[in-house]
Amino acid sequence: MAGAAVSNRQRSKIAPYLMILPALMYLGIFFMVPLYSLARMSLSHSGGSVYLPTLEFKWDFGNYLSAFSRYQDEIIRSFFYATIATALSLLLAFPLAYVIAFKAGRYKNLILGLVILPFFVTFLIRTIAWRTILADDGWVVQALGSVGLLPSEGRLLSTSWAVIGGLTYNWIIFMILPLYVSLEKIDPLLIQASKDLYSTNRRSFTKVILPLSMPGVLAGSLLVFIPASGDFINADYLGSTRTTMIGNVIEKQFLVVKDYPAAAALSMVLMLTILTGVVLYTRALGTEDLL
Amino acid sequence: MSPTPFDHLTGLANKQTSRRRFIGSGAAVAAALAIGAPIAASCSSNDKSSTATATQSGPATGTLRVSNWPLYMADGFIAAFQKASGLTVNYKEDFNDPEQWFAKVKEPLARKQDIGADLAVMPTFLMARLHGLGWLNEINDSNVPNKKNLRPDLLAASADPGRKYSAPYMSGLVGLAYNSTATGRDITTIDDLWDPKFKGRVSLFSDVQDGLGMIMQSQGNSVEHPTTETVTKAIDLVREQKDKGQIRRFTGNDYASDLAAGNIAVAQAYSGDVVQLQADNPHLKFVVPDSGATTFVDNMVIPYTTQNQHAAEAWINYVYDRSNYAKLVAFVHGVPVLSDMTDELTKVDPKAANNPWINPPKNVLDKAKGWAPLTDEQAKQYSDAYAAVTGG
Amino acid sequence: MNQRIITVGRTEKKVVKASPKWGDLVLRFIAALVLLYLFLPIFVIVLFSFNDPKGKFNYTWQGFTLKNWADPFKYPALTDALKLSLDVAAVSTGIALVLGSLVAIALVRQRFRGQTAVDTFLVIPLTAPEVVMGAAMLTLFLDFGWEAGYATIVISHIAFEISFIAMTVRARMRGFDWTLEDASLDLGASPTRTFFKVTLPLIIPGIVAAGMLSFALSLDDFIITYFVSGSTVTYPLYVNAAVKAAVPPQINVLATAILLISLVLLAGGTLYRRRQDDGARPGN
Repeated sequence: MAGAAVSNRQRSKIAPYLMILPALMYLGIFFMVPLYSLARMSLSHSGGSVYLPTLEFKWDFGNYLSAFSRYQDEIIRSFFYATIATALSLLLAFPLAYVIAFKAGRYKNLILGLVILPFFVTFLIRTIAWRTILADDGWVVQALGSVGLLPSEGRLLSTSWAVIGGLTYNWIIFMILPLYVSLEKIDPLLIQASKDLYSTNRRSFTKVILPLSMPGVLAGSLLVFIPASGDFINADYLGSTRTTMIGNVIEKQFLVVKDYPAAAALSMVLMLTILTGVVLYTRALGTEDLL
Repeated sequence: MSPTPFDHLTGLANKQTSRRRFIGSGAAVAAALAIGAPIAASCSSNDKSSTATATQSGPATGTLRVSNWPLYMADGFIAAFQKASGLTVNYKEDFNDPEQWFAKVKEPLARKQDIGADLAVMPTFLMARLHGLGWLNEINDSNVPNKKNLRPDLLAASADPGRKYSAPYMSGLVGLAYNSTATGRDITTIDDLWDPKFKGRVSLFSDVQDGLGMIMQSQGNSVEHPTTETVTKAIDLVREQKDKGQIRRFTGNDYASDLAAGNIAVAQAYSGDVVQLQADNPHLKFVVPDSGATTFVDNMVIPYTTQNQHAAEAWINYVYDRSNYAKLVAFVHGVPVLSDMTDELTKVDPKAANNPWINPPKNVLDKAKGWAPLTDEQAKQYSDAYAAVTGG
Repeated sequence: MNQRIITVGRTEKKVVKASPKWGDLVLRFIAALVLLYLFLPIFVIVLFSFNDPKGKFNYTWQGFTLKNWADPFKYPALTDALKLSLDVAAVSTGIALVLGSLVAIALVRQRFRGQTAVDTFLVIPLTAPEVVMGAAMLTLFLDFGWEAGYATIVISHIAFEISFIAMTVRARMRGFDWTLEDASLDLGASPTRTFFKVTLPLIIPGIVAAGMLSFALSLDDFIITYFVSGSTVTYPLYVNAAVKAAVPPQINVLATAILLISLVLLAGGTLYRRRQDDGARPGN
């Protein structure tokens, strides 16, 4: 397949707008409108009845201040877990994606299909299976314990590592697939040529393959990091009292405490922080566009 | 929050059966109206927002939509009900967490919009909340003659004296469960929860009433007269133990797998769950702590947006027949809400009749107390305080 | 083949040594390990579908039985929920693929005003926490006067799938050779024909990957679906409720069955392709 080439043709000015219009309109209605009401709620003050509070829009930034001050730990912890999970999934996904893209030959699609197969089983069932595998008296924990690799609590479940492991496992498919599609379209002749130019395979990798795979790395990292930071189910099922993430806080505030402005403010904080991180990350990777 | 059985109903929606007169066992269906209430609703109402507490003459007809916890029903029960009543039952198991369910139905109910259920099963605190918001229909006693079978203590319960808005469905005990191979000994008191030997292998309920009830009792306080001080005292103890690392997790219904696997040595648990778990793991035991345990009651309620009040009442009446109810209890393994169930239970499942957690003897029942009904402000205050400890 | 002869320039020939065998093997070995890691919980799930628990929990191994497989549809609510979820996933993915791919193509094809804004706009749905979005979406639907149910579930699924699809397809489209389109147009094809005969086929792998991701996402979605589903029960809703209570082995059975069917389809597709390729090889 030929390499990248930009067209110099004069493009229809209106074409891109027409193409993005359906999606934008759709998201505009079904996403932005709820988001707007969420933003309004985050700046409101709730009063009156406990269960059907009247929300008074007041430009009340107090919710944001308390979000930052009360839940610093959870915010930082969430991003910490998400970062490690993203790094882990990149480390694990790359060899697999690489082998499928370049070494699988005729079985490419078969193995790709195999890779995605586990993810058609509902994540809850998979997580419960992990609980069985990582049980305190299961063989995994016993094996790790004998070589002294267990976390301080002396178990795997209900530790931060179990949560990170769960996050990694859950979202790794979102790293494998974009990496694969990005790697797959690298022309093998380019790789051969690079091996010709550079003396070692390592340099051929870092100078040629890695940069060419960047779009996949970027897309994959975002698709893992973003949902992982807002996740709460892994902390719920695999975590302990000390692994609370911001997603758990939001859920609790919303469902149990029913402090809707606080939950909304926390959500906005989460979203804005992720967005900022994403922009910085994209700039760092040297691409102009966000995605 | 409440125990759920393994076995599941078979009959589902839209089974057309021939319409027959509803025959309530031992009861004559009232033909005439009670005092002066207008006959508001029709039998096959398409009214989306019917709010009438209609007393209707004649048998119930049409479809009944029930919303219940998963696996909280006996095999064949619904099919038998459909046959006996001529009604069609649309049974949904979409009630899995009270707060989640409330968050979902809050908006529609506030707008008087149908929520897809004519009858729902929920814990007492949620029932009280819905009633306080005016979202429940009154249950016409004239259509539920079997109500007389209800346990007197439940009938007189302060949450709904005379049971005008709620009909208890199943109850159970909230106590301690432990894995005797994991603990190496018997567990009898709340202090056992704090044994340093079990550090990191203890789980507590994240719900205020289920989690704090027995702890308050261990501190000499009563759940029938809770105050901010007594609740706070219990919360402080939990926080202290959590900071020490004693508590592994705060759970809802999901402690069972950890308990079975031995990850948890001692857990706060529901009696019905443990009875079920014991079938596969005889090392698991349920115990009412010396200082006392609490009870929970799940209730059938009729939302004010119901489209078939009469059918809902017919259902309640059917459930309250002792021989029918015995089948439920045998599957669900909860504590019956009807009185004098021993005979009927023995006919269906003698083992269940002899199980002290299904058919508790008086001395056990005496130690198990129900929470007093809380005002909205109280409920929120305690819930917020406890949520700060349980994480979030 | 360990060597490749590359013609450099017109007269020289250079022999290039391919990577040493062991490096290759290590790489394949690691990839196999990762694949194993992906399947580890699946093995457990399949195994426990043969479990024979006496009580309501399927957590400890009691004994081998085939009776769960003999009666996989024992719980009609579970089967119905599964069918519904597959339906919702297929429909929502189909629609979202169209919307999302169009956006991806538009963003990569040419520079236009507001491009960065659209970029940022697409990332936002990924960042929104499901609990609050689910409730906000429900309120929106109720304000429209719609009843929560199948349609609202599909609509809300499409909303979050679009961004995932757009990002995946874009990753594929980086480095796309747009001059191919030009060539086609120069040769006289209309823009529409060019799109369908040239552009689209080259993007298909990306679209297929995006479609699979989106399908899996929809099958798995719990929180948003919970809010907007009314009394409709989807597969994750059922499982989530059951998991807090009891996990009948039938859940494992049905999950395994889906896997097996997909596996068969996959193998069948591969064999079919191979036969096609074999038939097309020169000399046949």
